[in-house]
Amino acid sequence: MSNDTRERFLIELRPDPAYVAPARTFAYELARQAGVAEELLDDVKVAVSEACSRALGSTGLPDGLRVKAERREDRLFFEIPQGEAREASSSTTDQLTDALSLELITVLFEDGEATVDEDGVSVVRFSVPAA
Amino acid sequence: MGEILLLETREAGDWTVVDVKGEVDLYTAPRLKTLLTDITAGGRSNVAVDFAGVEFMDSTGLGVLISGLKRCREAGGTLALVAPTEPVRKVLTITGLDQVFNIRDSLDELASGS
Repeated sequence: MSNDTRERFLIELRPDPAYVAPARTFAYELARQAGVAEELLDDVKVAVSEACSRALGSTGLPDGLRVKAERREDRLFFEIPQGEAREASSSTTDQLTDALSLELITVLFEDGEATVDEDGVSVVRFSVPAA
Repeated sequence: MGEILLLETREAGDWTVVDVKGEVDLYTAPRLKTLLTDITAGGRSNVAVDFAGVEFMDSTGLGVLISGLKRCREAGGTLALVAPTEPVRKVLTITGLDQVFNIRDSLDELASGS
């Protein structure tokens, strides 16, 4: 018999920049209620905001803007599906912002990554210790 | 969605001060970008962005500040950041941009050049 306990959470929003703030508020509240350390809560907001912004910059989100979270034992795992990668912007500032976005996610969370799943879906993932 | 960014502009000596309150993200950053562009287009090249009231900023905001700094420098001036809050400082530090921007604790400190 396994003691493995999992709780899953999902918020699905219109794929619109106006909904990035509600997405990060959702993640913040979820992390707070899961007992994530106070000093990590702002980091969760930043990472989710970055992941949502990257998702909205891609070429389509058929299921809307989604933030998934799963609590497994003593960690909270976040997953933000991305659309298909857009063509690289010709703007130097856009390219820099994109690089800074990924840097923030990976520096804030050791396991932070932007990757492509086996089914070809691009996704941003990171996890944080919960109480 | 409610408005989560307030912008006000004022003059203080050689500086045009932009008071920013709220959150700077993908939704709100374009308004800050437009304001900074208008300031430099109006012939003012020393811009101080007061971040004391900014509770959150992500890389979209960083991109706006970088392009603002570039425009100010091209016009012979600079863009300084005043009183960034702890969450904003952290984002600047992680990305190394705290070494790029002139960051001051107060407008007085900026004006005195100390």
